[in-house]
Amino acid sequence: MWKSMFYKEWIKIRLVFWLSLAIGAIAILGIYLNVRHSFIIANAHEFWDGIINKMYIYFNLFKFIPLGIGVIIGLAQFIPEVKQRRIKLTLHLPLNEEKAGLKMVIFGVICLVALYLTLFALLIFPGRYYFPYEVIALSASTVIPWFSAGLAAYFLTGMITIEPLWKYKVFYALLAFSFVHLFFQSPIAGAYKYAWLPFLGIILLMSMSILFSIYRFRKGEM
Amino acid sequence: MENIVECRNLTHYYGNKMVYEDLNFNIKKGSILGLLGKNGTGKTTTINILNGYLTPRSGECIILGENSKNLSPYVKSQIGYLIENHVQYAFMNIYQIEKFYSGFYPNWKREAYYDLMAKLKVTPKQKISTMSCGQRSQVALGLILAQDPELLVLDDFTMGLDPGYRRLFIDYLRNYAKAEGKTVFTTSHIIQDMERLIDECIVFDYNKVLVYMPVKEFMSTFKQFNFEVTNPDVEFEKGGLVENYEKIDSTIELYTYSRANEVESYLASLGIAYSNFREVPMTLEDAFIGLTGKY
Repeated sequence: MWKSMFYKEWIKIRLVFWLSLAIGAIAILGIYLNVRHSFIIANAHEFWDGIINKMYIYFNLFKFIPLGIGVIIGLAQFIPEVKQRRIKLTLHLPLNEEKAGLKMVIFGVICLVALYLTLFALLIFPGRYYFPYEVIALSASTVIPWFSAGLAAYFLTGMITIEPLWKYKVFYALLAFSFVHLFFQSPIAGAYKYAWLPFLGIILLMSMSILFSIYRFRKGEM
Repeated sequence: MENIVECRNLTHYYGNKMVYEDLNFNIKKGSILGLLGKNGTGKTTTINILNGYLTPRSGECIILGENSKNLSPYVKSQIGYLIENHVQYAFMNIYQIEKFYSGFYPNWKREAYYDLMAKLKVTPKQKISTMSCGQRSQVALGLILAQDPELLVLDDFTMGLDPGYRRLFIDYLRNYAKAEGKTVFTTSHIIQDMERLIDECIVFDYNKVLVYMPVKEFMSTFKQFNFEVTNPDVEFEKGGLVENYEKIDSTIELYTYSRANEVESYLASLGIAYSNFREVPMTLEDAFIGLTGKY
């Protein structure tokens, strides 16, 4: 049953998955081309000064990409379910309704984590060619909240999409915007060094949020 | 005979709007029950309650021994459900959708599905979303046949189908249900199709059930009498002998469970002058419109 469920989910998101990977990789390529340009052609001294003294984030172009990926994977997964109320088919499968919902979410998280780890590796490891360990470690602690925001956005997108009533959708969307906004408050590298773990706890709690929308659907809120 | 479905005192409201109160019906094993009614009378509501997508305000539906609010995976595997408009996972093709569903049902009958698919002029990689409504209906039916459930719940299965596909669907379904002893609960807007399919019928009107009986009994007891009246302003009181009536100029179409002589006595007792009194043969659709009215 896991295999069948994952098969369906993969059919829904495979195009968006590869597209997300391609966009993320192209953005990272662009970032390092820009770094190379700054070192070789532009003013390397100014660039270093920005990174060391002003905590300048040299990969700012990447900032909203994990967030966009989280939203788009969520939409690709859950819009086909609400279109023509196909969620009824999923809930009619011979398995517990909550398990059916969670299996969908687990698959989405696996895909997101795979994408995020790949992009994280692509973003961080080539940096060692240009920067010392301290800059790379700071870069890692800077991007982790962005990936966390993407994960939160995925769960919230699922909950908002499955929610049957528009007024609740709008309410959840406002809450989601406020919460996700917290991850992008500071423009300084490493600003979330000590804050992202509590955020991650909240995000894990959010992973169950889709069950609430499924429960409301089954109660007949339409 | 064993009941596959038992609905007891079912009551549902949307906000303050009552759909129905104290609805009771059973579906016997091996029978085909049709739920007939105009738009908005509660047909899909009933199907949603049966499938556990809607919690009724009060009352309960017992399906294969379990309350529809909490169906176990086993009982769900014994219910084949066809959603209005033959909705399926349209982002899949006929090969992918069969592969997907087969993982959930241990007794999956792959041949039953592919036998039906062989009759469709579609390519194996053609997405369901690009198929015609008729072709989609066959995919949905094929999946239910492969699932081989005890109970088939079909919500307005004729919607969007041309006459050929409607006939194909009904003949295939009836032969299958009767040969395999399956129980079917179905709704449809197209009553003429139901006549070929169902054994028993429930007719819904707004907030009430008008009929719940075998189709043969309904068709043999419910009658239409036409006659011309001298006074075109004549009105009849509904209830009692008159179930419903329509007036077209001076012609009255009167619908009743009473016999011809009883109707004539009734007209005489009211002092109504009439002529050309005759019984008019009806199809199930005529009877449905006669009972529920044209508006």
